[in-house]
Parts: sequence; C-alpha cells; structure tokens
Amino acid sequence: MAKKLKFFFQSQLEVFKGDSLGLIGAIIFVCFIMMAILAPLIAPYGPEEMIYQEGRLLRLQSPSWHHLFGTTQMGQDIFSQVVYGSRAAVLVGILSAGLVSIIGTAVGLVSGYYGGKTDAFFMRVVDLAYGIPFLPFIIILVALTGLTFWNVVIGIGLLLWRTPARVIRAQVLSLKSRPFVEASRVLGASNFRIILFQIAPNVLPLTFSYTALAMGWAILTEANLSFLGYGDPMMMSWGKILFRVYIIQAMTIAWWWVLAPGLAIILLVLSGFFIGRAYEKVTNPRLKEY
Amino acid sequence: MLLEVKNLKVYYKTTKGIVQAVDDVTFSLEEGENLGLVGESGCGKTTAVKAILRLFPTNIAHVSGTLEYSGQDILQMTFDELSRIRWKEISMIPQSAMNALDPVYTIENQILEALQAHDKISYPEALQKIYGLFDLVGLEKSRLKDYPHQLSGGMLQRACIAMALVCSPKIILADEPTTALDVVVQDNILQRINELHKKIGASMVLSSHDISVIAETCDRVAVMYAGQFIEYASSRRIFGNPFHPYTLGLQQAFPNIKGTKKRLIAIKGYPPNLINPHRGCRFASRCPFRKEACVAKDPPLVEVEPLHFSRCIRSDAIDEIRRRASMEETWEGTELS
Amino acid sequence: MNVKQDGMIEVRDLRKYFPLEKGFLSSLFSREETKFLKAVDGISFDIHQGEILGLAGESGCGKTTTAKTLVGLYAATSGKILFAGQEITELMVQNRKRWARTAQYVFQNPYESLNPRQTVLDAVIEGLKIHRIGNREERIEMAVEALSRVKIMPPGDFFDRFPHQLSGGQRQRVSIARALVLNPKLVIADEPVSMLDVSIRAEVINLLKELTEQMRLAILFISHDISLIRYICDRTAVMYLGKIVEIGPTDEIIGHPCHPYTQLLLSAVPVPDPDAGRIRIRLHGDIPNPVDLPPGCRFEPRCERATDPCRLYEPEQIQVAEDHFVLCHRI
Repeated sequence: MAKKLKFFFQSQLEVFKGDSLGLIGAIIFVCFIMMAILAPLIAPYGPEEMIYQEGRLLRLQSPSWHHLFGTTQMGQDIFSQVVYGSRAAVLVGILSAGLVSIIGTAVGLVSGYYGGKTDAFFMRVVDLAYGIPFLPFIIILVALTGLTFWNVVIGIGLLLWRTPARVIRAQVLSLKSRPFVEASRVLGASNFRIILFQIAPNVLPLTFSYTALAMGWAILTEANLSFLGYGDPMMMSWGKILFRVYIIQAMTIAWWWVLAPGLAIILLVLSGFFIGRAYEKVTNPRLKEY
Repeated sequence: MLLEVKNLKVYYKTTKGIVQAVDDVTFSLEEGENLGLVGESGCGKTTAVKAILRLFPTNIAHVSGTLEYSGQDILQMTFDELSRIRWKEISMIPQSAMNALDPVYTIENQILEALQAHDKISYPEALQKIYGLFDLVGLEKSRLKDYPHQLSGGMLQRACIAMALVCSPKIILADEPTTALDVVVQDNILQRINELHKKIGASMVLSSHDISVIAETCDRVAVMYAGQFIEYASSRRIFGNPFHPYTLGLQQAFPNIKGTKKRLIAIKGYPPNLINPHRGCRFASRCPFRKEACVAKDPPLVEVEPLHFSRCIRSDAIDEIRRRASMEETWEGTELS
Repeated sequence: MNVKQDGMIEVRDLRKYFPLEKGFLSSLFSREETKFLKAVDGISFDIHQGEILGLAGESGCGKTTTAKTLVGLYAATSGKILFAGQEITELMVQNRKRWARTAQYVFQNPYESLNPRQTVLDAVIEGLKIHRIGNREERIEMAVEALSRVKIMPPGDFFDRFPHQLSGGQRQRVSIARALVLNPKLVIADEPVSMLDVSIRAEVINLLKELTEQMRLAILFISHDISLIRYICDRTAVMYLGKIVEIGPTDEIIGHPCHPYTQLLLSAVPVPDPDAGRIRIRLHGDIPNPVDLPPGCRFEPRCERATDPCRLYEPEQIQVAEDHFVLCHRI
C-alpha cells in the first residue's frame, strides 16, 4: 500500500516535469497556500486595522517600504488585506473544486458506464445545469440562504460539476469498451468493482485537470461575488478590496488599491489553469511538445 | 536506374532521446521492378518508404543521404519541385485505407482532388480516366459516389490503389498495403497489384512484415532490422539462399500452409533500443551464431554472392549456420536482451 | 486425442442475434419488424479436454461473437451450451462470476488488454481478489506459479512493472497468466498473436500448446490465419457468415477441404516462396450484407458450384469422413 502511495506521488511529480508552465502554476499555488496558512505571521497589520501616524489616519498612501501595496481610504494596509484575503480565495478555491470534481466524476462515471436511461437522465440534468446562468444563480442563492462562504462553495458546487461530468462521461464511454475492462468482466468482476478499479484510475488525470480548472473558476466567482457586495462580511477577500475602491470611485486616484488585489486574483486563477493544462497533457499525450 | 537511395538516415526526437529509425540505408530501384522491404515493427521500413516522398513526422531530428530520382536529389528539392513529383511521378498507397480517406467527402471527390491538383484536366476527361482505373482495380463505377464508410476494407484499399495510379506515376510506394485485410481480400489485392504491375509497368516499393506477401509480389527484397538493411538480394535468392541469421530466423518463425508441419521457432528477445544503438551487430544479442567479433565492430553490408548482400561477418560459415538454424535447440540458448 | 467426458463443452444450435436499432421516428411510425444481425446462426460443435479447437474465418463471420457468447459476455439468443453434460446456457449469464472459474479469455490486443494503471501483480491476482481466493501470501504464490508457467522469469522482478514497461509478447503472456490463475477448464484465445511480431508469435503459440498439455486445458483458438491454425489446432471449424461450413481434424480439413469456402480460404493463403505457383480460386464480389441474408446457402452468391437448391434451401450438415462434417448441398 505504501509503495502504491509513493508511486502515486511520484507520478504526480512526473506530470509537472514536462510542463514548465504547469510547474510555475504549481509553485504559485503552493505560495498562496502558504500565504493563507501563515497569514498572521506574514501580514504586518490586521486586515481591517486602521493605521495612524502622528494622530492622523494614513489614508490613500501610495506603495512604500512600510506599506508595500499602499493604504486604503480608511488607512488600512492593502498588503495585509491581500495576505488575509488569500484565505478566502484558497479556501473557496479548494473546497469548491473538491466538491465540483467529486460530483462531476461520480456522475460522469455512473452515467458513462451504465448508459441507457441512467445516462439519459443525468445528461438532461447537465443540460439543465448548463441552462442556468452561473453568476446570477449564485447571487440569488447567496441572497436567499445567507452571505457565508459555505453557501458560496455550495452554490459553485451545485452548477460547475456539469463540465467535468460531461467530459469524464465521454472518457468513460471510450474506456468501457476497451479490452481490459472486458477482461475484468470475464474474470467475474461486478460493475462496482470495474468502475472503481478499472475505470476510475484511468479517469483520474482528467479529474485532476478539471479540479484545477474548477479552482480557477471558483476563485474568480468568489471575487466576482465579493466585488458585487455579496461576499461573506466576516472574511476579507480580494473581491471585497476591489468592491471598496469601486464604491468610492477611487480607482483613478489609487491605482495601487486596484492593482494589488487584481494581480493576486490573476495569479492564483492562472496557476489553477496552468495546473489544469498540465494534467490535460497527461490525458492527451499528443498535446506534448518534444 | 529509376531511384537511387544512398546512405539514407532518418532520426527523430522523442522525450527519451533521438531515435535512429533509419540508419544508413542504400538501395536502388530499376524501371519496372518491385522492391520489397521486409521487417517487424520498429525496423524502420515505414519510415524508409515515406522518406522517398519526403514525408517526415513532425518530430524529425535529422535527415541525411541522397534520394536520386531522375537525376535530382529529392531531399534537396525545393517545395515546388517536390510538389511536381509527388503523386505525378511517385505516389503512395497508405497502410490502412480506412484512415487515409477523408470520411466527409465522396470517393469521387477525393480522387478528383488528387488528379486535378496535378494535371489540368477537365471533369469529363478526369471521370473517364477514373472509370478506367476502377475497371483495373475491380471496383464498380457506382462506388464513386459513395462515402468511405459505405465501402468495405477491401474496396477502400482498392480505391486507394486507384487514387495512387490516377496520375500514372512511375513509382508506387505501398506501406503494408494488405495488413489490415482478411486473407481472401488480401489475396485479391495482391493479384491486382501483380496484374497492374504487368499492365502499367510502374515500379513499386512495398513494405510488409509478412514475408509471404513480399515473396509473391517482389523481384528484389531487402530485409530490415533495427533501422538497417541486413540482407538485400533478389526474391529467389533471399528465400532460397538466405545468408543472414535473422532472415533464417524469420523463415523458421513463419507457419507455412504447405510443406511438412514442423515446430515453429521463435527468436527470443526483442529488437534493440534505437536511441544510441550499441556498437556491433544489432542482431547479435538475439543471434545464436554470434561470436566476439560480432559485437566488437559494426558489420558492413558485404556481397556474399553476385548482387546478394548480407550484413553478417559469418557468411563463410553459412552452410553450418543454415543447418543449425532449422533445429529448435539452436534458438533456445539465446539470451533475452 | 483423449475424449474424456469431464470438462467437455458441447454447443448445440447456438444462435446470437443482435437487434438493429431503428431510428426514433421509424420506431414510432413504421410497421417494419426489427431487423436482426444474425451474427451466429445455428452452430454446433464440441471441445474436448486437452484439445485445441480452431475457429477459422474472416472478419464478420461470427467467430468473436461465438467466443464472447461462450464466455458469458453475451447471452445466447437460442441454443444450448453444455458443460460436462449439464446445460448451463442461462446459468453462465446469470451467474457469470461462477462461470469465470471455468472459462477464461485471452484478448487479441496486448496493448489494450491490460489496465495501464495496474501492475503486473495486480493484474494477475485480479481474479483471485474477485473470487476471494486465498490471503495475500497465497495469492502471491499463485501469481508466481502462473507467471512461471508463462515463462515470465523471475516472476518477482515483474510484479511492480506496468504494462508500458513490457514488450508485446510479455504483455500477452501476462494476459495468459491472468486467465490461468483461476484454473479454468476452457481458455478462449481470440487471435492471441495477430498483433505480435512474427518472430515472437511462435513463443506464445508454443506456450499455449504446452499449457494445454500440462494443465489439461481445452482451448478455442480463433484466428483468420489458417497457416497458424494448421500449426496449433487439433481440430478446426471454418465459419462463414454465422455458420460452421466445415469442421473436422485440422489435417483433414487442410488436406481434403470439401466446402467451397474452405477451398477458397486455403487457396488464398500466400506462401513464402516466390516460385510456388498457387492455384487461386477467383471470386466475384465481396461478402454479402449479414443483415439481409438470402434464404438458401449463404455462400451461394459467390459459389462456382451453386445450383438451384443452393439458392432456395439451407444446406444440412453432411458427414464426409469420420469426424469431418460439411454444410453443403453439393458433396
């Protein structure tokens, strides 16, 4: 068992060896995770802490050595806000991505393998999910159930599984007619066993790919929500930073206030996409370059 | 001499290194002659055949040597010159016809495209020409309007043969033309190839892993192994008087429908890695007749009889080798590489 | 050839039809009966323990369908299959797991018949895990034995390897080991060497022969290559469009073929001798559509000897020699 785990991790490293963008994405992602975990140690100030200097609020300071990303209208250190904001991003990203890939993979496996009415049913649900506009749905859901980040995660999970479900189902369709699956059947394996041990392992790279991509989308969605004012009021988030600069229309005056969170969002979302692409190459070796 | 290939090398890149797929191959093709390239998977025959039309994969690393056709080197031609030769002078029947034809166009459409790309010819004239070819290959004219999926494998292959003939080329390349076909259909196609050869007089370069297919269609035969020619002679001589242990091994491994039933003998081991091939004879690790000298230096291709070449330094012991090759115990002792 | 009652497979009048799906609208509106692809249309044969029976024919003749029906992957449309005298036609589909201990399968494509993500050990003991045979150590022992039988030596070195690290011949031998580990009585080998290099085929073929003797197996050997069948099979059945047109001892069939299709098949085999003149039987046309079959003999449209009865009535099996039967009107 231990040998298998070791091999599993080694093969994940193999995925990134060939793909430099994927490696960069992975590194960026790990950096942000560390940032999220170690936020109190990295950030010099609290996320909402208002900073005074000589009795006056340090409003709208442009970037300096003391305040790497400058300060807000209310004298808050933007660097600290970005650091604390990574928590919302990473959490929402990972949790949503996990939910999306679990639901998507399960549906894809069952739908693709059993076919017939089961397949027809699930694919119609997928069609329905595609018909629902993503952001408005989440906004309404969050407005109805409450502005917590858990609800955001659930909202994302309820819709985004539609894409991995379709793609994984297609992969399962092509896998289930391959001789090694028939061989398993001839040996007497039950459908459950075949799905779990023969088909699922071959679908994993695709699952990982879509997990990473879903993470990118989830982070963007969370940023969108917070930007529109629907973010969790208890958590600092990059979208919220942008929300605040926007509502006082300070974008043209305080460019640093826009740039910092904007860059953070771009970097983390890109890292998700790069990792997703690296896994995609595993599933489709023809995408490799020599 | 219609085609003269000298020292052809084709290497390509892979994630593990550079594969020397075709390594210094020399041969010539006379007018009206059929040359067969025989070998198993990975020996380089497909790469060699495609090289004649300068069809290289995207991960090509190195090409050298000369491919002289009508006084010009194909490898040095400009793209325009090459386009004038492709299909008009040298055409190709691909390995599996089902995959070579575009599924969304009719057969007529595709053959016309081939014809009109190379000749300024009116539609009615073109149609007449194609009808003539269909007669030659044994396809009904009505099939022209069909799509590839409506034709059987044998019919598709015949359509591909017609397409290869449409510009009346001087050389036809056939890469494993019957491998994907059933035996009766294969026989049909082989017969047609032989008839066409008599009627049209084009030369052919045919590659196959099936020695009986080569025996029935080719005048001269080259046996390939690990990117090299290891034996090269007339068809009669190769089958009647083989000199190389690999050729002998192949004969022992082939079941024959005629003749006495004797035990099939496998050649143990498998072909060497073509990334940085080791020095010495490439077949040595599987050869029951190897000596020290075989691995010390690369064996050259020597003329063992008039117009019969073999890449084996032990040709002097050929009688002994032939005698022992038919015994199963001889091949038992070889090590797996 | 030992003819024991044990482990004998008897197939009687086996049929497997596949319904052709009609389009949505035509299934609503048209009164047409569902058409069937009669892949296997009434075949009968026996396989004895210790024997290799060859099933020869071209693509589309029904040999793979026969094989998959025999192993329980398809349910027979009608007909009987008996094992050791007992009828098991329905049982083997309802309880395929139990039938798996008796009949196993070796697939044609060595590059696709092993799960790319399973190690050699996992692949070989898969059957043992499914049937809950033995504990971990016992399973490893059985894997060692199976791999040794197929000459994968030393077995321990190969346990952790993945299929892509093996050659085609090795992969095929691992597939055979996987099939053998359950100690089946019948092994169906579906074109087991057609995708292997010629110089390696002999290894696998000779192995199958040895195993048949060592383990008292019965093997159904499917191939389109008659020369290979001649080499390994004790008896042979020639199939054409879902019927067995000729069946008998291999040497008989090859030496004295009676059915025109068998004669055609044999005459079409190329010979590795440039001077061998072959007498070829020239035919018109290709194999007819297996869905719209003519009422009489299936080979009639292409047969030189055909007469009126051939067009109108299906032929019966005629015995031409001991254990040699032919499906033809014109014997």
